[in-house]
Amino acid sequence: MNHVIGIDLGTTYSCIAYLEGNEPRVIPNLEGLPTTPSVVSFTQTGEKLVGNLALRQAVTNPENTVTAVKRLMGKKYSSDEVQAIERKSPYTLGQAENGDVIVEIDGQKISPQEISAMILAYLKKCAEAYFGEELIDAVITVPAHFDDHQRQATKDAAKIAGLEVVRVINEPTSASLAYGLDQKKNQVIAVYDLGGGTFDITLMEISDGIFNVLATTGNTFLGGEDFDKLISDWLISDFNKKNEVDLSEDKLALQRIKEAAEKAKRELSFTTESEINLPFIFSDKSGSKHIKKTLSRGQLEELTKDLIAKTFPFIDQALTDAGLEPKGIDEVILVGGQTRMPLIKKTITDFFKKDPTEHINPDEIVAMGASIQSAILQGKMTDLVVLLDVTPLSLGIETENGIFTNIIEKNTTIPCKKTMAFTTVENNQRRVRVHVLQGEGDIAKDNISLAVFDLVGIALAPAGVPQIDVTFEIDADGLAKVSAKDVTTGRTQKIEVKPSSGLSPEEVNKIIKRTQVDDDENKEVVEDEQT
Amino acid sequence: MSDTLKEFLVILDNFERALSHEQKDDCQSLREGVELIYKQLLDVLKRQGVEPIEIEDEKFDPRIQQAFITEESSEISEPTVSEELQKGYRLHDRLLRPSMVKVLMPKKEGEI
Repeated sequence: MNHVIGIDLGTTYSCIAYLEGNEPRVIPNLEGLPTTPSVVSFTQTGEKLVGNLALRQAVTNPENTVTAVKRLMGKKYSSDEVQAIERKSPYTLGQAENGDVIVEIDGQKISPQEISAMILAYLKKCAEAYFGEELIDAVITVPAHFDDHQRQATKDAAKIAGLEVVRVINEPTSASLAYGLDQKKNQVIAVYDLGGGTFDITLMEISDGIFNVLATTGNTFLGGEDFDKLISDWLISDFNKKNEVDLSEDKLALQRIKEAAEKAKRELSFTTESEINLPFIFSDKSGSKHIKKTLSRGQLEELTKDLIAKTFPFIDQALTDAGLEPKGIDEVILVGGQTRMPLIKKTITDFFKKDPTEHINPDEIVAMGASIQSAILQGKMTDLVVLLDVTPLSLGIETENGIFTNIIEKNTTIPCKKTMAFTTVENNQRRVRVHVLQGEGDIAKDNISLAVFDLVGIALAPAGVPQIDVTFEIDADGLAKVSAKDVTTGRTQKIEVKPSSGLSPEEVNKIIKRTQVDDDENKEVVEDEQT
Repeated sequence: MSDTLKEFLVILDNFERALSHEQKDDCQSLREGVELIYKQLLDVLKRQGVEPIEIEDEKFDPRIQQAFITEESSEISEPTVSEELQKGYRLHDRLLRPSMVKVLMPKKEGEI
């Protein structure tokens, strides 16, 4: 069997890994770097650029450069989150016929799935260059809070990219796997994930290899970039006070300051003082000016403590949701580059009264865990139990007066299946409409609408006589499926599925065909290199 | 590793010499000295496989260049590099750091 890769498709950066023997290894991208910016750009000449290339030309082409597309996956254009993103994005958003958000590039409508697929296709290419063989199978990670639409959108993106997703797993579950926590019995884990642009806290219970998400919450606009910005602002304001020159107007100076700020921040995770030297940061007729500052760990902590404090109400919320106290947590895992900061580790240690587990590179841990999962699925690591997740949201239908009736409850171990009998309410009724939803609200409209099903061709009979068994199923990837059977006649009923979101299988296939045409030229080049 | 570091120490020595002789020397000879140290450093890097990227083609190329500032121009039809703001470097055939450049963008039709 070929290699199966683990993919962490992140908001700001993505990472891929595989298992060599029993050790997870990160696969470098085509530029030799362990992580790739999750950025896609469409140039005037019709080229599609991904990763660092896309980032490097972003200022020449901001309206056609898409960053953080993960925030748009499986979302409706009218949702509050998408509206907030639209106000901040240099690129244009729009609405698909089914209300899904789409990105408009030069008047062309492109789904977030297609854009994610371009990132995935690039990562696939990196792995293929690394192994020198074609790769198809992948385990892909998603945030624990992703609903059915977002998971399906991620799977569709992978399909468009030519990948076969062998399993979709939750990012915190993946991080726990990298630490081998599935092998320990019955414990409660907190995963604190502070990445480049997003923060997530997830509380999970692991028992006998089953990962149960107890609570998950976070802020999609809080991350390491906010820390860098505060250091940059501090340097700019100090320089302004001393020299009456505003460096924020000078793009090159600003970039040098941003890089120096990030470097100082990284250094201060290991040292107590960092020197920031930026010679010739500004020159005019009167001469040249330099930045020569020392930033201590204490100063950095003073500058950024409010950002760290912003994460704690979410931890409190998660604990309340799970009905837990901090002392009820057995293990704390740190994920995301920003968690290298000693003050974060200390604040977490003080809060949970225990040292967090943090010896694996927090930028790569999620992809590494996914690679372990792929090996388990391949049967390579037979000493590990097969990982089972639980469904993060309840699945149910809308019944009389818009009430939500729960069919598969939240936290049910997946894969799972449940059958419910339906009947008609009117004499000679030929059609029954079923509205499937996901969520915890008692009222149907408070939940996420997944699909509307029409059960048609029901045999003529008085009300309440026909019995139609509707089977609700959630597969191992957390995706819902529904099928129906007329028990009276023994025939399987024809179901018209009208998904209220996402791409239909026909749309996915259409995109794949179109992408294949686009990529034909590239493929020839790759083949030439291999011969 | 230590051989490379030793080569850097020679450069450090020369910087110390430049700084301690600053008072006595005139501006011109100090400049000449700094230029020599610059060449020395470039040589050390070259021996390690590090080479500066020369901008040969005016066409903007994100594979080796990072666009920093843009300006619109009606005299060009494709993104064109007008100024190098910071040099880029290669390590053997690999990009070590892209050149930071100013890019002229074709003026969009219909705009004045």
